[in-house]
Amino acid sequence: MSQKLRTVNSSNIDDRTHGELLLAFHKLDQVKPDAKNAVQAIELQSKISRELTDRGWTLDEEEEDWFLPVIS
Amino acid sequence: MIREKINEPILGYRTRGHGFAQGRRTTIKAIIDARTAGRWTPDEHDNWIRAAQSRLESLRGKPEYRRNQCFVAGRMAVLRSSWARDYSTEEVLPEIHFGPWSVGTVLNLLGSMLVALLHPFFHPEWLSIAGSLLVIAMLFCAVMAALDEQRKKSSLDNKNIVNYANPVGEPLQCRKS
Repeated sequence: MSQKLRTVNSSNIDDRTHGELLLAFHKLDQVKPDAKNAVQAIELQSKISRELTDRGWTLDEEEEDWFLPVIS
Repeated sequence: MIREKINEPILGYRTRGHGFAQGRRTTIKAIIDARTAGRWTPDEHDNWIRAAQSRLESLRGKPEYRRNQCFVAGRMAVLRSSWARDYSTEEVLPEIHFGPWSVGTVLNLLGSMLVALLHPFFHPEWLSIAGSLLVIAMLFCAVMAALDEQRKKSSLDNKNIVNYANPVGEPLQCRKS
């Protein structure tokens, strides 16, 4: 499978696919709380979270914070 | 149809727990949405697999790890299936296209019955040709319907799925729904 991973940052979130946002979101989980870029990581994560919510997905707390599409 | 697809059990995984079922249902829904919007590509597929693996990695050693394994197993069952590797936008649900072959078989059967009923009114030679064509068409449709049925059954079957979500080989203990 070809891999063309595009960088996700604050300025291009609305241009990224669901898969790219999900991958970035979960990669940011791995940033340690005491790391230098921890604050930026949290900020970017909340921006991604807002974008996914805007696209109609929900952060399902029952499912251990997975972003899930709404099934009507 | 979408609801049927989402709720359709994977062969061998009918009794998996809630997390597995939820991972599976939501992933199918997400793929259907992406396909409909023309955004389901090999790269996007790969991102989804990597995102699930990444999530599981970041939870390793935490109490919720095992719970999430079940969810990831359900998600991976779909992502690793041949159904998920269909990147076409036209065939949103491949199963929709399986129907006509079965319908064709039934129509051919009805045609044959019609020929049999009307045979006193037509020339025997024409009837013989029509009958032969109908039988050939019926056999063709029956074979295609059987092949499609087989494809449909195997499209979401993935016997090795536990290995993807469970790399260390511990038994999965998913909560019952």
